[in-house]
Amino acid sequence: MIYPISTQSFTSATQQSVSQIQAELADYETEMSTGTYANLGLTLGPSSGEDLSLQSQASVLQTLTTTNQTASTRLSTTQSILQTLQSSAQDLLNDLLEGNSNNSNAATIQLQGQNDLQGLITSLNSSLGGDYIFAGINTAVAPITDYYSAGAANKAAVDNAFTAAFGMSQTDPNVSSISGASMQNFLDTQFPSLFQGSNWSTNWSSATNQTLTNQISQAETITTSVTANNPVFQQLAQAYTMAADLGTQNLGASAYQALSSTAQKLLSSAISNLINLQASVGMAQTDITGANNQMSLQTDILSTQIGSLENINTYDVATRITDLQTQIETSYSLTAQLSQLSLVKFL
Amino acid sequence: MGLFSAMTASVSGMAAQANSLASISENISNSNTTGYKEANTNFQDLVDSFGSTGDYTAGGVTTTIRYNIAEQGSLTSTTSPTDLAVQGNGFFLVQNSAGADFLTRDGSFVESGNGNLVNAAGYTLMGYSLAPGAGTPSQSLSGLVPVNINATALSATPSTSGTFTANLNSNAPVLAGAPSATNSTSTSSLTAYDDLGNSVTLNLNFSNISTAASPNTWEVQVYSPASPTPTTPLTTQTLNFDPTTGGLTAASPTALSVAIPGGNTVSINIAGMTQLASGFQVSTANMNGNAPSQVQSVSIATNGTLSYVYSNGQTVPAYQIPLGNVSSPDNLTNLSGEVFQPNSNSGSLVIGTAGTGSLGTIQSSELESSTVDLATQLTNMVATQSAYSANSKVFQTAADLLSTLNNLIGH
Amino acid sequence: MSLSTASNIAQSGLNTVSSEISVLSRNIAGANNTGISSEKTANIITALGGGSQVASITRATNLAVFQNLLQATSANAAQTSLLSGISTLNQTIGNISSSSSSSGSADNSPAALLSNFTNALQSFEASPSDSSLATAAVSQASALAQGLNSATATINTAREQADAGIATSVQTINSLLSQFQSVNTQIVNGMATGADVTDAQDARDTILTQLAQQIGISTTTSPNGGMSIYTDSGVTLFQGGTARTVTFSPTATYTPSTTGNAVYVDGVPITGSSASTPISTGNIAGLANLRDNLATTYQAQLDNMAGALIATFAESPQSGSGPNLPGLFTTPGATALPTSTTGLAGQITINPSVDPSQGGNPFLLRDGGISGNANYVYNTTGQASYSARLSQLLTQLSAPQTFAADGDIATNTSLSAYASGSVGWLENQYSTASSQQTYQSTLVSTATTALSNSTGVNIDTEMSKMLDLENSYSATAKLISAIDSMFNTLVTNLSNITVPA
Repeated sequence: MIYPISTQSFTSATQQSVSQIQAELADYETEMSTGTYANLGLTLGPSSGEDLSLQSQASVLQTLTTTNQTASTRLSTTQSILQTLQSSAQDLLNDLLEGNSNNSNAATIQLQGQNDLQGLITSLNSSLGGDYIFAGINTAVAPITDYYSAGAANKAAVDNAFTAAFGMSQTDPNVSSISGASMQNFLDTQFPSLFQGSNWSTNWSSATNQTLTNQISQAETITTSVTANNPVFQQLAQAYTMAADLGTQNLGASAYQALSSTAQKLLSSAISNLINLQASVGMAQTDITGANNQMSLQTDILSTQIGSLENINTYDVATRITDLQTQIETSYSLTAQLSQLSLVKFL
Repeated sequence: MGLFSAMTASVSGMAAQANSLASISENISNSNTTGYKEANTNFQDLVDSFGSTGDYTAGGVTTTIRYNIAEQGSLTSTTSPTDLAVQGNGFFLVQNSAGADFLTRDGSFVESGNGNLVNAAGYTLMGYSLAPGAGTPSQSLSGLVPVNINATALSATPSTSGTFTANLNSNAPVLAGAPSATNSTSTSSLTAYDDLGNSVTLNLNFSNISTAASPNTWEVQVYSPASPTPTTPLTTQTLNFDPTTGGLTAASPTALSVAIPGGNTVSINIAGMTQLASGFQVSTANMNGNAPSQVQSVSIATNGTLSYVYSNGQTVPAYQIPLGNVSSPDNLTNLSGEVFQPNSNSGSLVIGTAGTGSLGTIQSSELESSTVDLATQLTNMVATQSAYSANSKVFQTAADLLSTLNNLIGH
Repeated sequence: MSLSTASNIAQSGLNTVSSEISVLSRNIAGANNTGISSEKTANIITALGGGSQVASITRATNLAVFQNLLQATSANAAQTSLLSGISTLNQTIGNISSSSSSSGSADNSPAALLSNFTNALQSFEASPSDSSLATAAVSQASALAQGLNSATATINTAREQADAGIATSVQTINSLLSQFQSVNTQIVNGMATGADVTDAQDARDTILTQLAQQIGISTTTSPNGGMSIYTDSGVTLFQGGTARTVTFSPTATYTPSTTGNAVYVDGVPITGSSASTPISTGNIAGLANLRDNLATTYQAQLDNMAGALIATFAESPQSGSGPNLPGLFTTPGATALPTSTTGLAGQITINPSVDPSQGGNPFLLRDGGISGNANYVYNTTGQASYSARLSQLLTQLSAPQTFAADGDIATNTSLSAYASGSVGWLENQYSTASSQQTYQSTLVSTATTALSNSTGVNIDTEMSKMLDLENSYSATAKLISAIDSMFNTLVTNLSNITVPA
């Protein structure tokens, strides 16, 4: 038994498929031009959340890479400042060693000490993008009080200590009368305390002991700044102030000898500490570079993953478009043929 | 007296042929009359001889007109449902305006001004009323009333019975709380009619009240918003289902008796209820009765039951149209208007329901044609004409012989 | 048999042929009707007198296929309305493609906005003294809050549209039921009087398919030709020639705490949580599912996100004691943390004291004390590169937290995972509804074709039938002319007979 099909379903047989093919064609053409699925949410369905998670991970990595740039710049600035400080400390040490036996170059030493102290203060007060890089986290304020500014607290403290110890000011010509032993005593006891503890934070530095930290990758957080409260800067400040502002040029030979040797000890200790500090800054720089490399790898992997979720197979889509075009053309000609196929035309 | 007898015989022959021609003429003129039965002229010879030899006296002929009343005319279809035809034996019982009863096969009834069914000859169709309280048809002339299809009356029928069949979901959770008008597992409703024809919605609430001790137990409650206490069930029944077949157990009630507010107590047949693992699904929900509605049309069944069809689709039997018959229909007295009357030859009138016994059936939208065949009548006419001519020829010959005789006398 | 009988029979033949031709032309006229148009057949029987007559006109039916069509239509309608509702909700997500998010603002999903905000906060944490980064973080926070607000507005709109759709649907159902009532009466009536009810039956089937569009139905037919309609859950829609009323009181404005009204059929709720027999298919089912389940779940997810944001950014007292107070994220005018999450996504905003566009100070995000209470300041010494609070916030933001279960997704996860989970959930609903809809519409199309094939009209078949009928008609006409000529012959010959005088 053959059941005749109704004329309506006969003539509308191709209708459904044609409209479906047209919709698919439009989608595929969008996909060809964008390279991603036409309706991503629809295609991915529950994987949309995964896609967004991957995107958000990728953008976190992007953000970290960008913020690492800032930390990296700060660290390399710090590194070069430390390098400068180290070389100027080395120069002073060399000069002190040269004039070790007598006080003939005391005036030069004092002048050099003044320059170095000024250099130290300027260096520690250097800023990057408005932030004082040695200020710890108190980056809005220049960390070191300028020794040579009027009424500077650090100078006043040195002056007071000197006067209290020797009964005269540093500029007094009578400083030549100070014995080596009493100078040595002053330098070993009263003087160092001016650069330590509360005296340092009150008179010299407004920096915080807390340094800046940066999250350089999703797992790593490292110290990315050096604070002016680091002991190495206290040693340098102590040594430079010794040379610069204890009436060095007028001191007697024995007192100068005591001063020079104390400064030499301090400077060599400071230089080795500076090298250590440079090493740790260098370590941080290496960490950042490492983290950046790793994140760039991660970003690549994430991009691949996102791509595998979102991207179409261009070859596949192109083939499909061709197939669909063929199919739709066939449907059109079939429709034309079918409409001719009626008994009415033959009666 | 041979010559005169020849003349009288031929005269009687001519008279007989004239009768025959008259019947042919009646037949031809009624060849399109509904329910007309063909008339036949039967000839009988009249013998006037006493067995004497040598002397012959011609007898002559006499005629009787017979109607083939029992002959079935062919039925032709029409578009009016009140056009009726009898297929088989029997006659419609009709009355003339004077109230005399007749039989007829002419079923071309139309509604007259007062709603009675009257045929083309003016006779009113008679039947037994089936209206409530009219009693059982008596099958005699005494109970007959004119069939009236006057469609102006409104009619409401209160519900008396119904059927409700549904499947209750065997996996439905046990109802939390006591079953009430608003708390049930599944609900459905039936439309019933009270005495005045108001539609009354009966809400059937089915609640699964199975317990570990009595599984497969449901409670059915019937509520009606029309009830003065709509939240009090009109009836409550507990249904127990067989866990193996899913049908009601033998002990379970199979009908719900519901007193419709302002109406009858209806019996709702629920014998077909099942409890199977499928969703709640109603398969049958019927209730008789109808709201006040007008007669839209009539329908007439082959057994002669005339039903009113109301505008809401309800059909209500109103009249029984009986058929009458006699043992020898051909001997019925034929009267004008295609009606017949029983006489002593035909036998007495027997009234019965169409389609029972030897009685034929009543066909609606059909008419019985005249039984006259024109071609037969025309050929009969020629034969009659020839016979008439032959008779007149005999008469003329006899007259010629007689005049020859007279001439002999004259000479 | 006689010539007159032959003539009568021939005449009845002409009548039946013309009836058949009229049925045939009705078939051809309805061949391309989009509604239900079944093939009619005039059933010819031998009449009592030997002729032929039209006993009845019946139509081709296939109850099983028709029921399939009704079911498929309902299921398709439910998925279609659900899909269009989800498309509206999908506006809250936009294009999630990675290429669009890097190039523009098309990706406006809460998850993407949260990711943007987290990144801005991360940048700010790396350079806590940078005011442009502070402003950027605050403006991203504001964008996130606005994103949640507009998502809530979209959900409310979607629910309002669904509610209005249900109202329209209910009106349509009631009007279809009243049409159904009159057609059904006509059929019952016609069946009783033996009239041709095939057109009315087609009309009734067409109404049923329209009804199935709105609500899932099942039907039963009684012996008198009348039909009863039940919802797919068994609630009576039409029975005993009487339509039951379908009622629904629409709600014009939706907020997240609004619960839509249920649709009642015959006094029984068929949607919503109070329904013991909820319908599962049809336009109403789809809209109610969207309005009562999908949209509210999505809303709950957004509310949970908003609640988590407010809680994460809340400030605790740094000196003295006191309750936690709202920080960066708050609700307008709030002086304490919200106790319930309901509707938070619609209200969440950033604290004006942090918002530079309202004269606020974005650095409060770094320093604390957003509520204005000095006890809640974290950066007590006012250091410019104080990052501890920001680190703490970032840690809290990425730490797993517990979300209420009403969001229907993982409850113990980080906020960003919850947000992407929400997107995944919605897109899952979208793609499920879409594939369901495609499947159901294919079923509808298959069922339509099947029904059309089993009951529809094939013009070629009709045309060839017409040729048969033409032949039959001309043969009958020939017969009549033959009978006529026989009569003529008879009459002529009779008149030629000369009766001897």
